[in-house]
Amino acid sequence: MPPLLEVRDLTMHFGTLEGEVNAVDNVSFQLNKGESIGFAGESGCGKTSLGLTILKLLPSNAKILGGSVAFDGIDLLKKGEEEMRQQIRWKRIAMVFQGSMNAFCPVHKIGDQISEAIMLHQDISREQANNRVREVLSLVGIDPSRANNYPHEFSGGMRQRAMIAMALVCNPDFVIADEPTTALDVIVQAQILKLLAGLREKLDLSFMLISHDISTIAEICEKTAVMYAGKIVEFADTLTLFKDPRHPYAKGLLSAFPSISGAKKRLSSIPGFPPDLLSPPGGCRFHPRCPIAKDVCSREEPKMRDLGGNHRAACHAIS
Amino acid sequence: MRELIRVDELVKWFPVRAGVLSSMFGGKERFIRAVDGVSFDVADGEIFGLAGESGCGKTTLGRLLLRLIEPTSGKVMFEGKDLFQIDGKAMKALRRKMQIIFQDPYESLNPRKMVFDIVAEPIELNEAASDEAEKEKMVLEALGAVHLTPLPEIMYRFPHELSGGQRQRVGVARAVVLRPKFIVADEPVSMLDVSIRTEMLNLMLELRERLGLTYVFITHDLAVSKYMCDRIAVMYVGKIVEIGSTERLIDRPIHPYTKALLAAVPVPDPEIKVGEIPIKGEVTSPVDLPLGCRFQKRCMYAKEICMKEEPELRKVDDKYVACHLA
Repeated sequence: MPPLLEVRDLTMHFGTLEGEVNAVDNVSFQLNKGESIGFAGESGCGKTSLGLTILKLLPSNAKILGGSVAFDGIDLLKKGEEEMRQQIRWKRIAMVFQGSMNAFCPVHKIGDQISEAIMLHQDISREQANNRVREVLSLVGIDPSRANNYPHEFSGGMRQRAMIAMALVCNPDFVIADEPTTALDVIVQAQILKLLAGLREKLDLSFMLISHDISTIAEICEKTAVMYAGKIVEFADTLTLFKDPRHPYAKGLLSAFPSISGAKKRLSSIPGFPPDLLSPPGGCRFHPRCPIAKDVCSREEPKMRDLGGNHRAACHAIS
Repeated sequence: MRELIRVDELVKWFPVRAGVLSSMFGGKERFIRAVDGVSFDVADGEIFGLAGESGCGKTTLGRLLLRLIEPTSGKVMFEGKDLFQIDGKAMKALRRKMQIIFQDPYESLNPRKMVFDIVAEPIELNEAASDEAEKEKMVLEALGAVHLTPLPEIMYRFPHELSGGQRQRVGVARAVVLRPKFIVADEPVSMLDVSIRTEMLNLMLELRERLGLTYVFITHDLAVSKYMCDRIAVMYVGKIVEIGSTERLIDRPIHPYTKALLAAVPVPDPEIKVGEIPIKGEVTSPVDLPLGCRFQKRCMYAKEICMKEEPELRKVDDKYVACHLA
């Protein structure tokens, strides 16, 4: 079976007054139907930009400079804006945007806002749309009668559930969730993660979880990609990546995370801070912060190496 | 260890603004019970963690400890002096010993001031330096203590020229410049990226050793409190439900709320998954509290007594727990 999503050498820059920002640079990965992938990395590493590029929801100063995005055999980069809107967005690929639980309009009922998303994409009656709204609300664990509530009558966790319901309303195959639990309290976060994992199983959904918090990725994703300065530096099955990280940045990221379980050990930080994507360092983008950098790292950009078993990393030190 | 702070039955209620009609027709005045009878002590040199979900009153409690706000009732003793009884002059002298680090390094530094002026401000307010040279020496020492580089150039930069991690270091330098004994750190790392976050946590641990600091460390992130704190107090809607040493509290929680909180924390290990979270419903409103235990509606084990009597914090094994069933 061909993969549901195949991204190849995708490059996207933002044109700004100061120059080009290398937001997404030569990114490649695949995702099979029903799989979940987590994108981890610090702010500004390009993980949100990657999600937006897949949906082509980019501001006018963004330029997709190369690569391809094949979704279920369709080359999305060849699709025009109108086709994306009518055929792809929400019907096939939906997104839960960062902070979107605060994006409900305060003066409209939750149910009406969700049904608007269906009516825009499907030719169905208001009654059918309302029925669908009730269906998706119960799917995410909200009593369907709450469709008549206004956003202020919902708690933060419920608004996030409603946003997930809105993403599911047209039965997409693939959902991009950008930091879906970031502003939520820990108990609500656990409930939302469980909801996502459960929905995936129930609906055979594939999803991409974008998160700065690797523990949420460890919780619900089968595959993990670590991004640094616009590039994927390591990619593997989640278990492999967490047990045997090979790229120094991935190692650093993992050992910087405090854990509630196990003995307390001293956390080590990664010295320095991520580069300015206006002028990323030459060679390997991580070399100025890398504890094991050699001469070659500042000269040559490392190629993605296959380490076997679907594990890849881009580092000169890996032989 | 010697006791530095003792908090006794501290209460802070905020009035809820009522509509014109309800106040005309004698509606009862309502209160948000942000901090609702809290007692504990903090030893000299200790890192005492306040944990809990948003709205549980941990920030309000932190502000009361520094007398940034006045309490509704209760006491805070700092080195044996009652913060809310001493006069302005004595309070000013005490303020040199107590400082705060804020959550957001982007919002808590004045964008129009240079690093030097930001860090020197507490010195000026407290007239802690006899001349300009001494002031500069103190600022340089503080910036050196938090490892801000390059010195001295960085003194003449504005906050917008600094990265998030550098800004938070400026915030810490401002807090330690007067050589305080006690610092309230209110979610000091929740806005920071992972790698910078670890640096900040390690810096705060280092400063405790070097400067002999005592922290009250407020965080919603239990994995961070495990890393930082000697003891942890878990708050639920204005009350402490459990206090214990970090190890004991995390390994053997007793209160059902502590258990639920701990069960929900994801672990950066794909082999350990979050199991069932033993809790029902949503956070209790701090305005209309039920009779009895404030956790009753969410508790899986609530009994009749929990609906009638509010449980007091009492000693169970080596911890203090507020639960009838403990």
